[in-house]
Amino acid sequence: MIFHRHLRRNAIKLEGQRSATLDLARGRLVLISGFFVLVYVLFALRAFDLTIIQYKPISSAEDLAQLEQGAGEVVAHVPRGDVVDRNGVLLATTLKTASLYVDPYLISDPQAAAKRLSAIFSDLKYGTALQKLQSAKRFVWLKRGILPDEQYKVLEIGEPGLGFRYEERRVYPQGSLLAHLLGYTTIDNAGQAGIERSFDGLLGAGGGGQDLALTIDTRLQHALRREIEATIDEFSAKAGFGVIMDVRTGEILAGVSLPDFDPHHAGKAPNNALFNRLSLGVYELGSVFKIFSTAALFETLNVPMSTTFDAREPIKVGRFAINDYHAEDRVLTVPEVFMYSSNIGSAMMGQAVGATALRDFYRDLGLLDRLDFEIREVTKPLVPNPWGEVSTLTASYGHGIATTPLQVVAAVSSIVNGGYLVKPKLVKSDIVPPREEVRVVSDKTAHRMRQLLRLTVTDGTARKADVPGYLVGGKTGTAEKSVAGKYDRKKLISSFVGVFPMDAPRYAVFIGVDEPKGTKASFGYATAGWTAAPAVQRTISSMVSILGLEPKHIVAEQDIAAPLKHYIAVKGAH
Amino acid sequence: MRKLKLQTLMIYGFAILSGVVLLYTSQNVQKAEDRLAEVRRASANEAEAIRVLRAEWAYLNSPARLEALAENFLALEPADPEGVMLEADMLPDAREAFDVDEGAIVGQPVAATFPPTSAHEVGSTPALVSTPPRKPAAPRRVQKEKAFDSLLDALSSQESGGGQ
Repeated sequence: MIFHRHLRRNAIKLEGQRSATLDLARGRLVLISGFFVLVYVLFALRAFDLTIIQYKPISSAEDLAQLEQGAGEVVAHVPRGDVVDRNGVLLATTLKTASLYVDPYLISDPQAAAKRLSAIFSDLKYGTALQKLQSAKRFVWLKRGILPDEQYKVLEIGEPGLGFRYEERRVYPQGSLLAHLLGYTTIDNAGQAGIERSFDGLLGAGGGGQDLALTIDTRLQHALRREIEATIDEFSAKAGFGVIMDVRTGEILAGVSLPDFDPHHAGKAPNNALFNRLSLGVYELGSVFKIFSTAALFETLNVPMSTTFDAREPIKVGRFAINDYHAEDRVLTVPEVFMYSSNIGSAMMGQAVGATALRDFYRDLGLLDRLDFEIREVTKPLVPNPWGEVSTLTASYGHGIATTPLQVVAAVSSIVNGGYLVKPKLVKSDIVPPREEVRVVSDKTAHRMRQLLRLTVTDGTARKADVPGYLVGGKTGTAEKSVAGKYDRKKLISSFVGVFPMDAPRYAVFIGVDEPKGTKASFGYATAGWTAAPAVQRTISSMVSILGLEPKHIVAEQDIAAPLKHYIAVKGAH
Repeated sequence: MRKLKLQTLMIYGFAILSGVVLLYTSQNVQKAEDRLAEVRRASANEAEAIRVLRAEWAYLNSPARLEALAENFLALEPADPEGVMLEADMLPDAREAFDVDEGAIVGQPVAATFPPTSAHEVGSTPALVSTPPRKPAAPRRVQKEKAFDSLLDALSSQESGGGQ
């Protein structure tokens, strides 16, 4: 205290140079403290400004997200997006699955643990488990991708040495039902085929794991697959394929290619099963093409139904001879050529239309170009090049030209829906697309084709395809497969495309069977009328109850095909 | 000791107060952050559980499985188009299903022709019944109760017998 007073008293007395130095020092001190005070005042003002003046309550999630991002938090991990069908049924999802590993140093009783583990996992043998539990490493995988139920049981063992690592796995609850359309992913969740591959960017983390809705209806998919499978079994066929399409929009409601595979274990599937027959396979589909050649005839020449074609003699071109399978040996009208599926008659139609006009018509229908489709497993059709006279003849009844089944169904849809071109669609769009205004045939031709298709089912080769009350129409196609450059009479591709209801078509159902063999019940026949047509009949029967479509009972005289009846000669009276 | 000036006291007090407020706020923020993390974790777990349940739901409702179940446990089959009647007028008269004329049904009091003594007999007069024959579920229970009663009787009589 005394020292203080002394100092103060002395300070007053300070004079001269000493005083000046102290003044300078004090001035500097004041300046520095002033500076700090200013800074603190600025801070205080800014804090006041932010918290009181600019105060805004956090209300929206957007604000919160903005705040969180500003805070530099780790963005949550995005799982790969789900795929659902048109009704929201889950087709593919990503689940966190546990993988079991062991740290052998922490295992107290290896024998007991191994015993209990082998009881939980049927494919984990006691010996293998024990070996892993007693290994000298600190980390050994026991089993990858276990079920939640199994994980629970493992936790019950209570060994501290057993641990889990979590991985994301693609799960397909419908199993192999949609294998070819959905595709599959690698273990790192990269799309390898189908929708998984073509929409990899959107579904994956890069696209924000967006969900995707397909045009598929799982119930119809199941019905179609079941019937194709039954047909393959019944006729000991090698393979089968089928499509259900909305003829007005081209939306694919079901698409099946058999044999198929389990997308969870696609790596183990044979190539034969991985092959997508719908869009990657090309087939000479035979008489189904008569729909197109007959439509071309009506469209280009506008001939009446009564036009006749002499089907008594086979057509000979060079070393080829075109014969009829269901031989009628007489002069046939257009409806007769169509319903009895006369190759000679159809070849003559192609001839009448002309090579260029027929080819252009096929091109307009999209039969000659690579299929434009939402999955990448597509291929180019095999088209005769150059397109000569013989090609015109054979293409009229579906030989010498091989296309994907999807293209054919889309082309048939385009004709029966009133003539508007549709393309196969697999991804559902919320936006109602404006009606495709690309006309391929006129209203009149479309109506005539609907009549002819109906006639084939009521009186022609496809009588087994009729479902009473639903006005089914369609066309059979039995094509011989070419084996080593020659057509093999015993190896057939039997297919049928059905459309219903014929007075206002809504759905096209196509089924094809590869190498069916005749049975006792079919009297040895393996043609489309015996194999594919009944399968389509059964599919349509299931469809109508699934979709709740009302039947329309009409008398035969009011049938859309009734006016064609008087162009048909009574059997045996020619 | 020199007396502290009021001004200094105030400054010290203010400093301590702001320190307390700061600590309080930071603790609050810490707590809120912990809670946020907890809620986030719970919500992520919930989302994952929903994903699993959705997958399970889709699996359990897969058409192939439902079809197999329906085949095994239901006596139903898809509707036959021939059996679908679109207009109510086309339906046949339901009364024709019973082989009695209208007068008989209306005129006869049910109780008069209907003296059921047991459930079995109700089922055995089908011509006039409006209720379908039932499985004899009720009598069995009565029998059991009776059996139990008689057992009690027997026991009590034994007991009384023993006491004598």
